[in-house]
Amino acid sequence: MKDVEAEILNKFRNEPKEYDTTRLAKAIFTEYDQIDEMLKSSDKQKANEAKKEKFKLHRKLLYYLNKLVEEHILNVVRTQEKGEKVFALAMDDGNITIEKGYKKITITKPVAASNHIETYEKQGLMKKFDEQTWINRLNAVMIECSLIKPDKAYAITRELFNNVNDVIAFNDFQKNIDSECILFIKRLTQDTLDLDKTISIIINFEDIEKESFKRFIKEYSELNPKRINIVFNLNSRELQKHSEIWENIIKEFSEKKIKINIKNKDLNNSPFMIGRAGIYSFDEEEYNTYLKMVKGRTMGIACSQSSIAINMNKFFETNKSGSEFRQSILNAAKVLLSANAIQRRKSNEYFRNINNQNTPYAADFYRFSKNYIRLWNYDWHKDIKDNEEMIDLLNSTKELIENFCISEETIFKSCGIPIRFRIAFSSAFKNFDLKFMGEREYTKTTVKSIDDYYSGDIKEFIIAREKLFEIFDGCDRLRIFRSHESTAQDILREFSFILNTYKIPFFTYDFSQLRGTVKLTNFM
Amino acid sequence: MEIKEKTVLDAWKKSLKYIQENGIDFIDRDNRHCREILNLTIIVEDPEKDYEKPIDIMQQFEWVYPSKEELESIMLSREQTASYEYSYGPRIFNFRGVDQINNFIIPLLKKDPTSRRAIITLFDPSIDSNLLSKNVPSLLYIYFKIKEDKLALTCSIRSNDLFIGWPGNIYQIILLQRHVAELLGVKTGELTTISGSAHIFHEHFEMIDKLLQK
Repeated sequence: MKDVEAEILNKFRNEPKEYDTTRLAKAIFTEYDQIDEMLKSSDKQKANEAKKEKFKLHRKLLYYLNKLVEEHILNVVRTQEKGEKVFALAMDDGNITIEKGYKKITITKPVAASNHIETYEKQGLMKKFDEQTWINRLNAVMIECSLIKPDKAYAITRELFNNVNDVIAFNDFQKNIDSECILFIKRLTQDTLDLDKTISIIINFEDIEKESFKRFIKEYSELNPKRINIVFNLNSRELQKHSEIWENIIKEFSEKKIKINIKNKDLNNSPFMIGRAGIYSFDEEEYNTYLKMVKGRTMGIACSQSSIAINMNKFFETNKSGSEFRQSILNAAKVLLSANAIQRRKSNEYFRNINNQNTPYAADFYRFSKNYIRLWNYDWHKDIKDNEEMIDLLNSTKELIENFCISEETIFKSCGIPIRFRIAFSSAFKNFDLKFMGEREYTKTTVKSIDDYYSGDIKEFIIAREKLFEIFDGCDRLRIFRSHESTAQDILREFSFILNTYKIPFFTYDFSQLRGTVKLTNFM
Repeated sequence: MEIKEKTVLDAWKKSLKYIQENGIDFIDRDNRHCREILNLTIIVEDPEKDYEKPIDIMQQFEWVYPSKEELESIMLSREQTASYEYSYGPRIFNFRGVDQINNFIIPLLKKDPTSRRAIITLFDPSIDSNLLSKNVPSLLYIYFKIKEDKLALTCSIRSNDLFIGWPGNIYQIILLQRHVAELLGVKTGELTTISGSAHIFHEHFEMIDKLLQK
């Protein structure tokens, strides 16, 4: 097998998705990015040479791609603009072993799960997250920074990208903060964009080293990585204790319009992570069990396996009833159960790398994982009565699903199959699937100063969100848009107010609407 | 109590009826209402007959019942997948490195078809006799005996939901019985399950009634 051919097949083996020629060329030819850069050169001769080189690489790649199509290993699924072809594996679910010369590659295409939601999918009411990899990848995993060597962190993360389709979280990242850690983030910045993944860096304030942390915050802000989020895990006492660091964070982040994500650890002990699909977290009781019984045995734990989103407004637009909604969610739960069954059976094949890393405690890695049903456009009305109706509907649906999960665990266990099957509810982010989600319809909360928190509207809004947090056992996020010029101390007071006043485990301050600047008053 | 029937389906139905009529009610640790018979022995004379029917019936209800494929792989695959805390296959074919079937049962019964030592165990006290363990195998041991040139099998199940679990259990055990019989070159004979706690749950009574009326 020629190297280019093997590289193409490896790409499909690692991620059995659809690829256009440019994406494949970028992944296969290391010189491609450099040539792309040269195309922008003001030196015409250089740019022309680059053009020729690029053409050559495309021609070379197409030669092998067409050969693989002729051999019925790949298919051309469609042709894009400018005639660019898009390729996918031309195989049914299961394995295919390709042997050429001395090289042998086995490609696995995930088995399709039974589909009780096909009709809803066709109507654009439901969507599986990252359908191409929704069975053979996990949505979210959490890695303990204290348990991996910093020099191995990048290699481990790269490997994990093959097993995770949304977010990798690094817990206790503050333990690894040194001169090298920003280099680690720098390398992952491009990877996350290229591979469509997200990273959550979880910072706990118990053992923070002031100077190196401030340096890290500065470097991180300058880098401003779009797909790498920091989640600050703390309580109001720690916020006060580290107020100098915090004023610094507020100044740096607001300037660069970077969101500040705060998790109230007094309300939730388990780490939260921010994915494309939405927020992920663990069940509190289970996370405590993890801390007592599992932490240290494995490099981390899986948080979520598979997810399905439902477009609520669209669902009810078609005059569907509450009972039909509950039935549709039950159907989604059945689909998740059958997806999990395939994942279980094929775990050694799909997650070999993870299992090897965690031997002999590999089973512990999956012990606390669950699935997500995410709601999109659940229409948060200003009229609180409408919200009450929605909350009732969600509560009754949640109860139905909890009972379903317990019954199924009992059924499987009775048959000698000791499975774990859990479903959590949460909201979906637009990035769950841009095409499916459509326009977002929701109430945007903009705050100009702490006084706004005393206004009836915002108070009511936050209280209603508190109720929603209770239903969303997979957790949620309260997003607050911060506008108007202010001091870092003002914003710090607002954080403190939320942490002390409301049962909101997770909130995000979004500075994208900020006009003017945030001043660091205590240094002025 | 002993129930003896020709087929799997008949044995299942008769056992359910017996527990319904004679069982003693209690509430389990998950607060579920159960009806239980202790030490129920079920003998199926011809296990090859109708052995898939109970599963087919279970798959017709609203719930998702494990697929035959998954039931089979749990029983016959020696590979432990990380997603299960335990599974039967690895305990049978790779119990602390011991393949109890290929390295013991088969050579033993080939050498001495009258042997009374052909027993395999699935319960591992070093793991399962632990107060913190939530999932421990229900199937404890399996005894093989060649009787009139046929492979008879007896197994002990410590806790056995006769309505939900037994169809899957019996399917798995028959697959193993067949597998061993094939390796020995004999036919399958009688199959016996001994359930320490044979129980049904009150919430399933209505479904059981419907099943028994058919």
